[in-house]
Amino acid sequence: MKTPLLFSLALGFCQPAGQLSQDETAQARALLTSYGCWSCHVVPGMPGPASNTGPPLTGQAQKAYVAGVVPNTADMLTAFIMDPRRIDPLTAMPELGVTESEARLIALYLLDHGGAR
Amino acid sequence: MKRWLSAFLISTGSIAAAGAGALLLGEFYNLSAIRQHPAWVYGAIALGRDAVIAVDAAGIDIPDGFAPRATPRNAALFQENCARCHGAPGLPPEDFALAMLPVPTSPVDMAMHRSPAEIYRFVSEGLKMSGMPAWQQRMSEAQMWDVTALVEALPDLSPVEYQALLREAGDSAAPEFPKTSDGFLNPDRGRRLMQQYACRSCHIIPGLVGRDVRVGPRLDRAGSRRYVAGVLPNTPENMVRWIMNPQEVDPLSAMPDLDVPADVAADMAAYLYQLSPPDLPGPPEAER
Repeated sequence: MKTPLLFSLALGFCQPAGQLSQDETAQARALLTSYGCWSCHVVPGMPGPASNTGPPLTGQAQKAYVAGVVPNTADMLTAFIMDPRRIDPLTAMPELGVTESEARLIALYLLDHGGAR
Repeated sequence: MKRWLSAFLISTGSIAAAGAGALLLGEFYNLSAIRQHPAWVYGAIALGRDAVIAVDAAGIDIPDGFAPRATPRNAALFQENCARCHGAPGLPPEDFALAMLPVPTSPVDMAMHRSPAEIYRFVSEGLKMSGMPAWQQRMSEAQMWDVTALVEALPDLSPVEYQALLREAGDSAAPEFPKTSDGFLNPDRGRRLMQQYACRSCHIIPGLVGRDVRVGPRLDRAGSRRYVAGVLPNTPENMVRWIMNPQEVDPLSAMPDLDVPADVAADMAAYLYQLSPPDLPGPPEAER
């Protein structure tokens, strides 16, 4: 039933179907820019200084954990972006005052556009 | 014409046989567990294995009502039988398993990339020459599905939740504090020991061959990252402290305490800094 080889080849050649509309994608990018995420992270789909203060956000969908402490789900990622220290009290990630809906949009963008390794 | 053909076949055949003999007996191909296969050999073996496993798994009937499920009981079953080699979220494998080659797959990575039928197939029948035993004579079918259900549930559990299940089952594993010793820095030894401490089963590490795994972050730029584990400023002392005792640095971390001695941790850190030297203030950061 599953033909992993063909499947992975097929995946390699087509863009994953996005969950976000073009509008939402543009909004998410604007948020990533305005909150300055790129000043600490490499952000997929955005040119930047390849900053290495925090880990790269590329390939987010493939990662097992958020911040190395909780399972990598859209909910956990949203919660971490909103209030990082609620997820890990020791984290160096600052709380930037991102609202829940903004955080969810950013999380979905990262999970969606994280395919590039 | 026929004579030519048989002469050709006999001569090429003998040359090939002599070549294979010289390769192995002359120890040009290393069979020890301290030297990994070259990436292309690893890739070819993995490709063949996955094709065969996919065929095997297609013949397995998943029981009705099967779902990823973590309970104190199946967590304890996993911890007792599987985690000894595979480790578990936030908990290391036992010492002997770290230097196995191939290194036992991280169960979280397994769950992220394999179907329940494939996992059941590995548990039940094992895998030749990998060190994975067949469990079908040691566990009941129900137990093997229980273990499969737990593995599939692991990516949705935090290390803290997993360990809470174990405590509920009345069996907690307390990591010991590592022994310390001194030594001078040897990045290449650090690289080799990262293989033997099974770092590669959760992290992508340039210079070591293995799965495309994302259980932990890739370590290609860990040396120049501002923070260790997102928690401590990146200094050699903090890097060594983190490698030796992750839970002392961040009690919530999924990184297990692997009982790495201080001199080994120092060499591992040296290798990370060699891969990606810390930023010097001033010039803008160059791309790797």
